[in-house]
Amino acid sequence: MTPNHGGLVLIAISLLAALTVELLPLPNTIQPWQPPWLLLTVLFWALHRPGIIGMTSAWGAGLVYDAALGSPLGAHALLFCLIAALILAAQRLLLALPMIQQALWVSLLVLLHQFMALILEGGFSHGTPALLPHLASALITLLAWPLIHVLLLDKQRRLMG
Amino acid sequence: MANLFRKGRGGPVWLAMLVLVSLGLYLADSRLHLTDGLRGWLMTGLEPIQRLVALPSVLWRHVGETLQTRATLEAENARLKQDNLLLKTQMQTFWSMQEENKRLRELLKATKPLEQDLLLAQALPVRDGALSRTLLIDRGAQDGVHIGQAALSADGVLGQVVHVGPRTAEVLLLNDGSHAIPVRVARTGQRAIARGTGEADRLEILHMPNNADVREGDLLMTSGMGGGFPEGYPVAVVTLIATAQSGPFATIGARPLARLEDPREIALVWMRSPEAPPSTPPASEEIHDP
Repeated sequence: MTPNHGGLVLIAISLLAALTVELLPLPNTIQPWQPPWLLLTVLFWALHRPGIIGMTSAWGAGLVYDAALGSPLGAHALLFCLIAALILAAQRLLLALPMIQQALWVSLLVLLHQFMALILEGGFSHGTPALLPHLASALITLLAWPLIHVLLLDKQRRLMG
Repeated sequence: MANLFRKGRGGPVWLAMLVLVSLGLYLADSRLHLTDGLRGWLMTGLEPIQRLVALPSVLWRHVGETLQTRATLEAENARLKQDNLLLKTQMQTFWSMQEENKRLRELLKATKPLEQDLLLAQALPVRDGALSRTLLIDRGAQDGVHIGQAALSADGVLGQVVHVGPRTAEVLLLNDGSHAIPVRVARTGQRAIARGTGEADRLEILHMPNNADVREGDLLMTSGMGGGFPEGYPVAVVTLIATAQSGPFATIGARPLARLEDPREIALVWMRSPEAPPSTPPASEEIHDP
């Protein structure tokens, strides 16, 4: 499990790419269907390389995410590290599950993240917000999670053994 | 389970520490505004990504401009010439009125109005938060942009600067749920507060009594109260009035005049007292109102 140079570069590049894709401006109707790429990539690495990307790195990624979205600093940092902690706690179980079930669990975590983010960003201060967009991002996770595996799993195995 | 209960980094104690640090940061940032430095630092790192992400739409706009036919360009040119002529004739009376206004104020020994400097900026189209309505612009602390500064477009007020990086800044738009702006009805001078609703095209007017003289179609302008926004810029048009059956205040809706979704050019305003020298670093494209 010793991280080599290529592996670290792969992790860095994948995280940067995830952030870039997530920040792309999309029309308002499509925006809710944008998967939470950064969170999913962090979770992927927490699941497969917990020695390198753990709670601390997830926290850092959340902090950068906060600055990018203009939300209060610390809000997404808190959620990212909590969800990474959940993934780490259930790591053995999740790795043993087939891909579909894994994706289901991860999309549940994304849903949890969405609701807690809604609370931290003050979504409930002006009546009930529209909940559908948040369900959309959990649903699309079912597709995005296998896609991330297709993109990263082989490279990960080749570079890090 | 082994990972969660490991000692040291990665263990539950470490998690608790991260949670505490996040909560501290969250409070320091959202309530006390102590973390502007850290945010500026993060925004510096994010700037290349944001510029990269904004590149396709900026390029698309350029391509659209280059590929315009000669006829469209000529039509646009003719329209601009006409606009220019109209504005110039209006400006002639404006200067003399302003001189007269100044003289009258001096006679009345009234305080001099604040003078304004403008700096043009452009929007960087980047995704914003699910709930907040913000706009990233390509000017920052290095251009003298500061938090709380008013941002205008050609059609009306856009909002105010909430976060500043070295070369980028974030503008909170009028229609964000947490934005409020002091306004007055242009026709009657009645003052009120216009608050964003989070919906694209609607502001709500607070604290307007049931019997106030407001009609649909009334223009709302900045009142200059509170000092955040310069006085006399158009904000919104009243679109809906419903007098409340119970309670003293009417429900009034208004539509923002500026195109909040896609403003081409953004002007940032500095206000200074007439005696003070310009507080901003003089840039070549800065426009000084006389």
